Amino acid sequence: MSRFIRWKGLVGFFVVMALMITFIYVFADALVKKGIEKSGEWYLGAEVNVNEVEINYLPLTLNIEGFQATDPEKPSHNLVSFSQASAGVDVWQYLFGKLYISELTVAELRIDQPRQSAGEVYALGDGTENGNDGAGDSMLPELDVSLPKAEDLLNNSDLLTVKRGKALAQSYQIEKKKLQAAYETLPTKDALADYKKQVEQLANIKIESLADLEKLNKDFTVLKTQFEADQAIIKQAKQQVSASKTLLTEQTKALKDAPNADWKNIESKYQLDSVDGADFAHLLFGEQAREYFGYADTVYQNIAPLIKSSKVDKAAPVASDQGRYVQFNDEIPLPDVLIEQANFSLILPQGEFAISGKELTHQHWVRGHNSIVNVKSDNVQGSGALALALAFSLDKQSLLTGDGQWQLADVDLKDVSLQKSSAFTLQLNSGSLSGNGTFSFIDDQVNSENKFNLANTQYSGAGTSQLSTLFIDTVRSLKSLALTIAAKGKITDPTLSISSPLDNQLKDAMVQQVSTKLTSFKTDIKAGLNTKLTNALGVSNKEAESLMDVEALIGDTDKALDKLINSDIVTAKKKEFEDKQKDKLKDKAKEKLGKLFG
Amino acid sequence: MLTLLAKLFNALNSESSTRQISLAIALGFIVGLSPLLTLHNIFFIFVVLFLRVNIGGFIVAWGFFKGLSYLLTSLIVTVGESLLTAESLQPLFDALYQSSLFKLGHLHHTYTLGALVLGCLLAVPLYYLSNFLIEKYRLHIKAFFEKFRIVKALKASKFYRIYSHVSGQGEL
Repeated sequence: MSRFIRWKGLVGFFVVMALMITFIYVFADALVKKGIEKSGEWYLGAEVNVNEVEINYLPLTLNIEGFQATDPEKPSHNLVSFSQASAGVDVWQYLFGKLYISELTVAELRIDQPRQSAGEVYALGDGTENGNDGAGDSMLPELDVSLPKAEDLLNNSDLLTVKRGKALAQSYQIEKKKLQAAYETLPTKDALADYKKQVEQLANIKIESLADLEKLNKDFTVLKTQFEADQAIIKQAKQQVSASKTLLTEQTKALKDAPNADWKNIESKYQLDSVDGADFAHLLFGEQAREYFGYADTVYQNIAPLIKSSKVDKAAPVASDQGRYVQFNDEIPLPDVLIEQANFSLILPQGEFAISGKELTHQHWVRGHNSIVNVKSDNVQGSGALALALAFSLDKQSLLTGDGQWQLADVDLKDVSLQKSSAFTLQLNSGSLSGNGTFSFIDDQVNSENKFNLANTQYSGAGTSQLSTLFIDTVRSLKSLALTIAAKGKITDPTLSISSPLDNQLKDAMVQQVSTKLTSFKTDIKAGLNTKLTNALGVSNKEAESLMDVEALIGDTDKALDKLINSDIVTAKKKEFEDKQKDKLKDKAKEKLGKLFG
Repeated sequence: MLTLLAKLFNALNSESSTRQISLAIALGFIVGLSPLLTLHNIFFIFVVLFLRVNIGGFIVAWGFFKGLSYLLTSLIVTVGESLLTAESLQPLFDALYQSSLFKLGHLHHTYTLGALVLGCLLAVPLYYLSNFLIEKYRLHIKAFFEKFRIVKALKASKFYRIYSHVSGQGEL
């Protein structure tokens, strides 16, 4: 037997095992401390410090004292820190390859706190920040104007009434010249009298023979050709009159419409119409709402890579270099990582928050339970109360779904800057905020509706224009306001819709405040414009009268020529000649028949 | 390291049984392929210490095959993956999975199972191949190499002094 068995080796084995266990027992704390620091530094790319780690073995509990993780983008601050954390780990499950923490407690969790000394940064991310996109500012210039003096506006040569009046007067001058030129080509009164005299002369000619008739016809044809040439000139003059009339009618109509168009332009330029449709709630609270949804985006940006990496693992399990655990049907199924109960105490400048979590895992389908997170605080901004409940789960395809609701009560707000721009500054000096809301998300799509009520408000601010000052005065006169903020779409860039009875309140109040000034301004402007219109039309009426004279003259000349051209002298003379010849023949016949029948 | 190599050469040149050295190499291969702290590795280390297996040969083989395992990682993972996901073996693994020993051994991990299966399968031919090569070494190669001047020069080196020292102490 001893040929095959080495008893010393057996002793050696147990000695080695004992040494290993002793080594682990003695150095476990330091090893785990180093492990946490190194793995944290590898993940964050910045210095991670742990003051002390203590491991208790029955039951296995890990205690961490004084954890600080440097913010790689702001090394003077910690991204996250806590004073103490303890986790009860199931040893058997850990040895089976699963991390099952029955209870995790983190005390005095703080975010963005200054460090005693700046932490080292090993690797920086791309540092892309979703800063203020300026959407709030884009609305401000609308109010950054003051009402000009009516006289200054009316002296503005860019007014359509002025421009069109000038254009009409100019057109009258041009058309007048054209008509004058046409008028001068027309046959004169003397020419017409001469034509008439010539026609009368032809009419008085005695036709004795066919040769006389032929001559008359020839002379009248010459005269008629002259008439027709004159008629062509008259036709051209008539066409010119018609074109001038059309042009001037159009320009007169445009001139009459000009005062209204000018008023609309003034309204639009000086936002006199926007008072009715202004989105005041968005103007005031859009930036704040965007900031709060920015926090949700930050949380999502930190969680999303973890979800995506689990997606990659699922999609291509064979591709893993170091292999993977394959799970089979278990009598008591457990996910790879599960924190059954977690309690955090989060300390922020806004207050202390108690966060509790249940069933925290990334494999919810294994046990079929959702992760539940509750956040509670009774000292938000002093004495405010917050309650938030969230339930979420990841399915096998790593699709994240969740929903929740929140309530906020009696949160004191002090010195909250609502606007700080070139147009105006507005600050909420004090107020009490309450609200509630619901939210749901599927993957990166969020849908949320939140209602807020601000009571006992006191504002201060200053405007740089009359309108913005009016706006601020109006806001200051409001003692409470309700606000509904809805967010829909991609969590990284949700579409925010902010509505409030404030809009109507502000509209009514502002309209009331500005109405007197606005009415006076409107009356002055419209009166001035109408005067300009009347003047312009007055000038054009005189020109129109002279135009009518020319038109009447052309008409008279045309009629006179028409009468002359239609005077059928030749036919009348021919008939007269024929009748005379007939009479002659009759007389001759009577004479011959008298002789015959004697 | 030099001491370990010297021990191996000492074993090869000593009167130790060829099978003891071959078994050490085969077990070193199994342990070398797997992650160090696994249940089956502890078992195999126990076997090496408990049975009269050449320890020097085992340690050298372990180190050598540990290095080789990095080149074989993808093959090991593929073997483990194909076994653990084979439809026909699902009932077997379902049953094994209910056992704490199976999970404690991390045999539901593709790398660990792949390394154990591949190691055990290849350990058998490796054992016989080692046997064959050691016998040939002792019969022909040792005498053949000792004729060379370089070997004579090596005998004057530090390594040979360590070897002689180890050799003088005999087997562990």
